[in-house]
Amino acid sequence: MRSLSAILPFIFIGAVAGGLCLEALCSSGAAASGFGPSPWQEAARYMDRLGAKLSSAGEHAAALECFNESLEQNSSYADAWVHRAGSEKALKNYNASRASLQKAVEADRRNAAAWSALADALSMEGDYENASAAAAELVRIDAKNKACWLKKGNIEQMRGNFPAAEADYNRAIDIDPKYKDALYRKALCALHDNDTDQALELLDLVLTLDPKYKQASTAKGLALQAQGEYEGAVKSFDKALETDARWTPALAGKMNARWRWEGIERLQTYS
Amino acid sequence: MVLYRKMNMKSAAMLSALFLIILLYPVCLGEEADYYDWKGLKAYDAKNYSDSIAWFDKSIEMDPGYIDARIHKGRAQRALKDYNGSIDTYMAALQVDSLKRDAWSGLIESYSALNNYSQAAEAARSLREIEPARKENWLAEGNMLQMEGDYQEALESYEGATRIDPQYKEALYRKAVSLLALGRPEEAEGILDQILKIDARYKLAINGMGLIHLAQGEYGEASELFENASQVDPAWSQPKCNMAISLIEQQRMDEAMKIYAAI
Repeated sequence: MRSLSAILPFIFIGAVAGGLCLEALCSSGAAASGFGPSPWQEAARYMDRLGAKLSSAGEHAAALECFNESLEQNSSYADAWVHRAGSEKALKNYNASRASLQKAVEADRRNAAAWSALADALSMEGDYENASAAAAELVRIDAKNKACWLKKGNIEQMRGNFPAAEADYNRAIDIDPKYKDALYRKALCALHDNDTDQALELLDLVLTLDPKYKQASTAKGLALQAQGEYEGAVKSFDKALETDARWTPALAGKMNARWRWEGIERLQTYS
Repeated sequence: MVLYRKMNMKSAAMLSALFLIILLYPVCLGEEADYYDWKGLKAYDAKNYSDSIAWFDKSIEMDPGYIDARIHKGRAQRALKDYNGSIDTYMAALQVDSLKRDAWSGLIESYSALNNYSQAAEAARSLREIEPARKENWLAEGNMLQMEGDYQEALESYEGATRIDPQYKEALYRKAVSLLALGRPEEAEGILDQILKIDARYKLAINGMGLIHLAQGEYGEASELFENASQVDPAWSQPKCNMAISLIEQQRMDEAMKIYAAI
């Protein structure tokens, strides 16, 4: 008994010292290697979660404060940067949003959500060059995700690089042969190459998968117009307008095709 | 005697109170109806449309003759896409006051949202008959007739609007559209020219002029006009679509798809 009471203070001192060491290790980033998150990381996560809740309730200004607080606790917390960018975007602070996304990818080079949002932000600004680079990073991280290939393809298409876009759509279609968005976009590539037969084949496939896909019906109308099949074009535009009566591309296409098909003689008399 | 006098005073006081209640009751109800309508409007502004309808119903319950609450209710129903419900509400409002402009306007919107352009045109005609000096009523009637496909009658309505204001661009533009649909492009072109003299940046007229050139195969002129319309409003997709169509007509598919894919 006497010997136990003699060593008790040493046990207590040891425990306190051990705890302090553990805390120091955790805060210096050792948490990831198995020591569990530090209180700062916990606080950062808590504030991020709170911000995400506020953001989904549409309270973007309040959410932004939470994300800022989260990042003050842990400035390398990539998810908080991504969420912060979302709130900045909702508040129409596009430059700040893009800057947050840059920080997110600096904090975590393998954060697919950050690269995806960055590609979108750059594309929205019309900076397709850098958007394409961001999308390339995205597909490198998440190559099995068809949506990533579609995104990259769309950026290439917006950039005017149709061969690169087609290659990306092919990757997406390899993953899912019934991926209608990629099939539709691939059809636009075929139209670009003046291969209206292939375009029509792809668009018919999309419309078999989803008869209400108004973009596909409209593109089919344009392909038929290119072949001089104005009657069929009007029918395709009408099909798109059944889904959305105010769909501008179909309205414009139908007006032109109808003039050519029905009113050509009338207009010739005038000219 | 004292007791009798006391009783007399008591009944006099009771009678006065009763009289006051009878006199003030409708006033109180009216104020309550106004209050509930105000609560409904606040809920509507906060986009809580279902809540706003509940408040408007309370207001109508308090004062069935309070037409504003009915009109506000109809608008909230439209926001919830309950167009048939809103039609019933506007009809009930018109039973209270058949000359109420907002009720007729709401009715036009609701029928139009249901693609029932014949009823919408009927409602627009009623509104125009109530206020024939208001050019907007002629325009609304013309627009509904045009949507119904009755271009000839629409033309007459637009002429009614331009009789009131010869420089009424919206009515002139719609008149040009009717003329195009009736196969009178030369007259349509003249009217579009007239609009562009009033306002050279009127994008609808610029785009419309481009369409006339496109229909005649004058692709260079058409492209220039679509480009001008896009410059006036870069976010407007219609001239871009028309530009793509023009390029397809010329078999310039690569250029067409570069524009079309970015719309």
